[in-house]
Amino acid sequence: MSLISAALRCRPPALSFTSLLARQFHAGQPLLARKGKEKKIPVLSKKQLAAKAKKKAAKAKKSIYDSEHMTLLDAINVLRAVEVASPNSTYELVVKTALGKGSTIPKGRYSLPREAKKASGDKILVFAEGRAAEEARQAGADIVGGPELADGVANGRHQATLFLCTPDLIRAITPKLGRVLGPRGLMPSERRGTVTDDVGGYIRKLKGTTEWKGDKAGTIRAPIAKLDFPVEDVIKNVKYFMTLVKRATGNIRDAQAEREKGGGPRPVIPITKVVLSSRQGPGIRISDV
Amino acid sequence: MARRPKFIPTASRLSKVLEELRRAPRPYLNNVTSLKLTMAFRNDHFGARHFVKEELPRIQYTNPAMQIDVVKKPKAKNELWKPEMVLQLRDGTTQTLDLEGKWSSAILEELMDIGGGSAWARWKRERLAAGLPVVEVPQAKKVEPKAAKWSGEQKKGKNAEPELVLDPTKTGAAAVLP
Repeated sequence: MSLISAALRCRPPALSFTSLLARQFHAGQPLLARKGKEKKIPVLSKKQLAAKAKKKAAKAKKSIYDSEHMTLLDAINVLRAVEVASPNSTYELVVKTALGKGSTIPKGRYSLPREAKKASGDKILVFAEGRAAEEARQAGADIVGGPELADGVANGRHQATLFLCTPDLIRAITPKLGRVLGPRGLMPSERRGTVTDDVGGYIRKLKGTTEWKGDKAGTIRAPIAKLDFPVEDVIKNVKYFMTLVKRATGNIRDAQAEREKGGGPRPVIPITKVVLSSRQGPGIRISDV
Repeated sequence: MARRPKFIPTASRLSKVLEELRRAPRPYLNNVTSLKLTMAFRNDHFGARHFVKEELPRIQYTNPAMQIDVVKKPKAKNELWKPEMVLQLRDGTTQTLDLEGKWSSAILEELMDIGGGSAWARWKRERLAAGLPVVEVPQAKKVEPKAAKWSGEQKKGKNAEPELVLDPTKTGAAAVLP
């Protein structure tokens, strides 16, 4: 009791007097003086951001192995020397690309001027009925059938590496197979040309070609030649493959194809390095492809 | 957290391979157009095999236009045939070298004597004048037996533990314990 009464006695006599003396933090003199002088964080334009990134990249430490380049011919000579006693081994080409956010993984089909490795043909499954089914069978499809195949595909009874479909059946199979084939990148789609009326023509076009495809990180690997090929054949194969990759990544513009497809220019995926190696040989960065 | 040790980059694989391929003497074989070497697939003809592993890549690297074939034939224990090297010379003649019982260095020297030309003759003169072997003879890697290394260290140590005396009649910990 005594405590409370003491506190009451200590209360200041007039409220208005205290409010005059009190320091209010939101309106103190130092704060008011500082107002208007706050540093603004500059918002950089895209161009400025790019310049900043460039400066940062120039400052970053470089790997000491970055300077180890060779011309294609020199690299082939080194690998041929290392593999002198194993003429049956294979040259492997590795192309690294810098995939940006949201850029699609480059892929395509190729048939080298001189085949390095016997292609194990695709196993083709076609959803088609009537005349289209007959055509597909003639062109060399392995499994042909209607929407009743979808269950077999979903449970793994029908295994294939390529799926084609006619436009009138795609609606029937999508709900069943979208989740199965979609993640594997095998779902037929109009954009990729695997939903088509001319299934036979598509299969015929594929004959004798193999698919190349970058992995998740954007690295493309391909067997490019055998060690016992003459040097000119190896060079021809490498040049051919590199033009394909450059075209697919947008490093070589194909004006006519772009016009046909429509839409704006696709973003370029830069190629960061090209490495040639063999089974036992060292990986050699190529400077002139 | 412990600090990560600083990464000290070592020589790249490519630079090591190149160093080996470009080692002196460079085996220029101007008089030889093709070379065919036949040897056992395994368990025999060790000199020829060593030659294929150590010297043949250098020969191919120095003479990119030369046609080199290595034939590795399966050979049973009771079969008796010798490893050989057939050389096609620029003047159209062929020459066959018997590689039986020869070291890789001897094979290289013999080959270079046939096809090496003036550059090889100069190299040979220089080496002989300097009192060095024409081709370095391959040395076996020295491998220190592990047990010997251990006992040596123990002897060197000032307060080395007394050597264990094992009781041969007992096994496991019982052999050591009193």
